[in-house]
Parts: sequence; C-alpha cells; structure tokens
Amino acid sequence: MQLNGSDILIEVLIEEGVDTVFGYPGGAALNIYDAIYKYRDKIKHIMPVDEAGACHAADGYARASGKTGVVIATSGPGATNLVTPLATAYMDSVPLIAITANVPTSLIGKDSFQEVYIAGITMTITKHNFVVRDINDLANTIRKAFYIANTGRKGPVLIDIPKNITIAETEFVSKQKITPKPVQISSEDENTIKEVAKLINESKKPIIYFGGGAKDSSDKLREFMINSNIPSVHTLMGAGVLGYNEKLNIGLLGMHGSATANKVMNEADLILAIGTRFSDRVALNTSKFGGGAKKVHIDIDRSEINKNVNVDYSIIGDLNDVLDRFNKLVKRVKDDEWVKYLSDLISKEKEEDIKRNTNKDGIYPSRVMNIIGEKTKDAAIYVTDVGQHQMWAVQYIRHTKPRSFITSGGLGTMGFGYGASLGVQVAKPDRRVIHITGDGSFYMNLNEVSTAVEYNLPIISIILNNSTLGMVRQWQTIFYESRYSSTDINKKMDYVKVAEGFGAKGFRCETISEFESAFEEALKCKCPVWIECVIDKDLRVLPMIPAGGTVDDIIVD
Amino acid sequence: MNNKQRRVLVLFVDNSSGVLNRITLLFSQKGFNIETITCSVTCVPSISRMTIVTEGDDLHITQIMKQTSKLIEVHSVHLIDHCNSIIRDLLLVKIEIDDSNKRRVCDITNAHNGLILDIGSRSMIVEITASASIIDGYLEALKDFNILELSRTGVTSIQLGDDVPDMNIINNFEF
Repeated sequence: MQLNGSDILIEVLIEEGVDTVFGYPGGAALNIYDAIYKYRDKIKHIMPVDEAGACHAADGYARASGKTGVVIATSGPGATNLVTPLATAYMDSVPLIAITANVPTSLIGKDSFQEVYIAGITMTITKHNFVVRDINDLANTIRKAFYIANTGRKGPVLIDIPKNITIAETEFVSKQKITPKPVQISSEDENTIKEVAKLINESKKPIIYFGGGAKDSSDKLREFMINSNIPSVHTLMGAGVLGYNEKLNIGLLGMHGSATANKVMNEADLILAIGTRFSDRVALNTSKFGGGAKKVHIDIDRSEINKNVNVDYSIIGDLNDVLDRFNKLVKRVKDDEWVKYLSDLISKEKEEDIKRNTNKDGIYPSRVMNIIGEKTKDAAIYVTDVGQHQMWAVQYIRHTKPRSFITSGGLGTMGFGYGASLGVQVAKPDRRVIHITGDGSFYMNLNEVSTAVEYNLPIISIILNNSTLGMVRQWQTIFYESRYSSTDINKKMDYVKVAEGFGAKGFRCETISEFESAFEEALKCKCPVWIECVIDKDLRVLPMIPAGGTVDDIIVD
Repeated sequence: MNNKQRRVLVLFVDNSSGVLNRITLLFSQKGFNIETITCSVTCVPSISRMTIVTEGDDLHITQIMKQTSKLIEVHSVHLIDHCNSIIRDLLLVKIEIDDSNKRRVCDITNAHNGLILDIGSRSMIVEITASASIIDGYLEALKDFNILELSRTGVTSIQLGDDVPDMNIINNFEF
C-alpha cells in the first residue's frame, strides 16, 4: 500500500511490537505527530516536560520491561536534549530507539532554523545511528535499528528523519519482526568452558562477580551459584539479580560495597566475572584487583575482554547458554571452609551494620531504606537518581528481583530518576514505583511530577534532603580538607507546597516515625507523592574505598 | 608484550557516508593519533578498504581492533604483518632546480626509483611509490635542496601470496 513516511514509521513500530512511545512534538516532527494522532488507538504517546524527560522515560520503560524503549523528538534543540539520556542508556546497555525529526533535506547543511547534525553529535553515545535520506530506505532502516539495538550487547540507536521524508510517499509492505539470535559460543570457547569448569571444580576459594549483564540470567546464575556452592558479589547494576537473602550472595562490591565483598576479591583463588566490565567503581585499582586469583571473564561483548583488567580466560556468548553449560559441568563439595568463612564474615558485618544504624535520633538513610524495603517487600520497583541516596538505596533496600532496581550506573546521571520513574510506572502499572532521590538530583527534574500528575502515575518520591550535593561534599570532606566549594544548596523551597502546586501530595519528615507514617500514607495514595526527609548534611556513605585504592584503604567510620 | 610501535590496520567497511567519521571519532575517543589514513572502494562496490597507520602497544591496538569491529559498518579488521605484505606510500614532490643542481637531483631520484613527471625552468616534479622508510630516505637525501611543495598519500597495503583477507559481511542485515 502507498503510505507516507510518518505512517510508515508508525506501521514499523507496530510491527516491532511497540505500543507506547515517549516524545515531544515540534515543527520538523509535525507530520510524525499527525500520524501519532491518526494511530492513537494503536500506540499510546506519553509527553513528559521535555525531551530529556521523555528519553529517560523511554530508558526506564526499557529497563523495567525488557522491551525496547522509543522516544521521539523534533529537530535542533529537541534532538540535542536527547544527548545526556542517550549517553545514559548507552553506558548501561539499554535498548532504545530515538527518532529525531530534522529540517527538510533541501535545508540540511545551511544552518537552517532548528537544524543540527544530530547523527554526528550522537555518534559516540549511540550503538549506531542513521540519517534517512530516501523514503524507500525508511522502513528497513527502522527495522535495522530495532535489530541493532537488541543484538549482542544492547544499546540505543538513533534515526534522524528529515521532514520531507516524513511526508514523501512510497509503497509499504509489512514484514515480520526479525528477532535477533543469541550470540553463539565458538568451538574454541566451548573448550575454554570445559577447562574453566575443571578449574572451578579444583578451586579452593572461588568467587562469582556479576553485573548488569546477568539481569536476564537470574535463574541460571542462581542455579550455578547453588550448584557450584560458590559465593557471589555484585556490582551496582547487578543489584537484585540474586536475592539479598540468598545464603551465598555476599552483596555489593566496589567503592561503596561491603568490606567483606571487597576483601574476598583479594583472598579468592578464582574470580568468575559474569556480565560485568571491571568498571573503575569496582576495579578501583586495576593492577591490584583480584590479587593473585585466576580470572575468568564471561561476557557478550568481546571488546570488554582485557579492557580494564587482564584475565586468564574469556568466554564470549549469551550468558544463559554459557551458564547452562557450566551447570552441567560444575560440581563442588558443599561443606566448604571458604563458604563458611565468608558466611561468618558477612553475618558479622551485617550485625555491626545493624548496630551502627539503629537507635539513632533523626532520620538515618539506612533506616529510611530499611523501612521502604520492609513495607514494599518485592512488590515495588525502586528508581534512583545519582548520589549518596543511590548508594544508601542499593545498600539497604534489600531488593531481591531483577529489573526492580533502576539506576544510572555507568554515566551517573543526576536528573535520571523522575523521568525514568515515569517510564517504569507506564511499563509496570501494577507495581508501585518508589523514586529515591536527593535534593540535588531532584531539582534537576522535579518538573516531571507534572507529567506523573497528568497521566495519573502514582510515583512516590523519597527526597533525602541534606541541603547539599552530598556525594560531592563527602569527597570534599575526605579529600579537600572540608573546603565546600559550591556544594551547599540554600534553596528555601517548601516541598509540600510545591508538590501540592503541581497537583501531587507532599509530606515533610524530621523523624523516622514521621517517615514511617508518611510512607504508609503514601502507599495508600493513588496520586504522585513527595516525601521530604530532612537529613544531616554530614552523613557519609560508608564503607568507602577511595578511587584507585584497595580494600586496605577502606574507610568504615 | 606491550611494545609501543607503528602499526598498520586494514579495515573493510561500508562504502557510505559517515563511516570515516565514525572510525576517526573512535580513535579520538581512545586518545590514538592517526598518522595516515587512506580509503578507497574495493572490487566489491559496496565495500571500501581503509588503511590506518597508528602507534600503540599491543593492548591498545587489540582494543582498537575490538572496538572498531563492533561498529555496524565495519565488516572486518586486520593487523598487517609487515613481513608478509607490500606496504606502499606515494610521494609527489616539487623541487627547485637550476642548471647547477639538476643533474644531482636526477641522480638521487633515479637511485630511489623515482619518476620525473615534469621539468620546468625552475622546478622538477617527482613521483615515488615506495615504503614509507624509502620515501623518508629520499626526502633526507634532498635535504640540501629547496622543496617547493610536497604531497604524500599515506600508507596502503596488500597481503603477499594467494591468500586474501576476510571481507565477509559480518553485519549482514536481510530486511
């Protein structure tokens, strides 16, 4: 059938199974938005306050649902507003399609109104991008974009469509969606798997270190951990892949990970790195990371091998396939001294942590997070911004499900939280979304509460207000002799009134019991809620290993 | 072994706009200098061959090869084995001459298998196709003469023997 470019765009989105898009209209995108109006019964459009909010929302939607997020923006400033969110999605390997309209091809390259070369701008922050210059290429370009976004290591793909292409007509033939095949394990890697399985069976002190790449392999990983009786540690992006209460799950590794988790990496004789990339927030000192242990890296992305830390063995493939093979080959004794030693260490550390964080006046973030976890159990999805609150959330909420702890790990994007929460709540309407933020991050995107109000998204925002940029201040305290350059925030905003002004509900808490009551009330509300928790600005996220340090440099008090 | 040295990479890439930009951006992102880069279409019209000369140690070169391999328009990446390849660079140079030194310039050019393309009243244009080191040697031999203009292409290369590099289209989308 003969269709114009805008209709083709929507038809291919439908082919790809898309039922929700996030976006913001504009001059160059008028034809696309006309098609969105025409197809409104088939595709829902959510319009946040700006394109950045829309793109973070599409990202949150993808992270929570496992589907591909889609964002639409107009040319020029609309397109450039996607830069930070696209970089965020790229760093965390989120499948996302960004569609940008552009000025007509006749005006491209002439500094026309609202013209930018967004493909050039986003080249290093997208997995791939396209400029469509011929209407006959449009449908297949969109299909390719979805395929690329979901093949191997996932990531965002941008498609720039000039306005004249959105109205030009061509014959459109509908096609079946092509599902990317899992990355195949090579015969060489099959042999490595056998070799590594032998190594695992013979090892005395093995440890599993997993990251966000394992989020879709939770069951296989658990089976492997239990079957092999190997304790595991995880990165920020790996939070929730295995349950907090799993006996062998030691917990968070890295700069703000537990002392035990960091200690065991130095004591292990074999490290199995699974779906993780030895980031500088985990391998703080790459030359000393892992001590004398043999290192095995299992990943879908070949370019991650030996990038930050040199390993002894590498296996490239789909994690489910690789773990399946290990599950058939690996068997270890159950009465293991190593496991007992680590279990004792972690139990002791947890006890000390509980003592350190109870019976204190005022609002302690650890207690706030404990209460959130206790009251919501596994029913909620937690979305964080970036900073101290993010670390307290990962340390104390006790999240136990994959895709339920949504955070900007790689890029560390302040202002990610509210936009992402919108997408998460749209993707998972039956689960409660708890947005955990600090006052610094919240100021970067609090306007998006108007979107939550407009679309009846009952997101609960917990704002840990310490009137400062807490994590930066913490570094200034430790490394800059308390010279607090530009970190203290002296805004006089009344959170409760502003929340109400937006049409949301607001609470202010100065004690933990006030917080508990406010949170219980918030859970009953069917509208967006803000809970401001006033905390001491000198509170620090502990433990902490300084950048470039080792567990020997850990700060615990 | 992590020895920093000159390396020649050959990439088979899509013959389309923006590919060169994407690859050079990747080198910039990794902090790598490109000494020379040449690109032209191959016997398959949709595929171009890109030859890049850079300097780095084994780890960096391996990382560059892995990262470039990930790019959607890149079909294969090869590290050239200097002992098993013909590596050539083209020089066009315009040298100032007079009656007293013309003979000497001709002798030096002949000794380097150069081709005299043009002799004017005050200048001579020479072409040399050779390895970069021979061209460097030629320019060194001309150091006492006044060079008016110089243009070098950068390296291009081809593997010796009957083997051909893998040009398989690894990112073949059948839509």
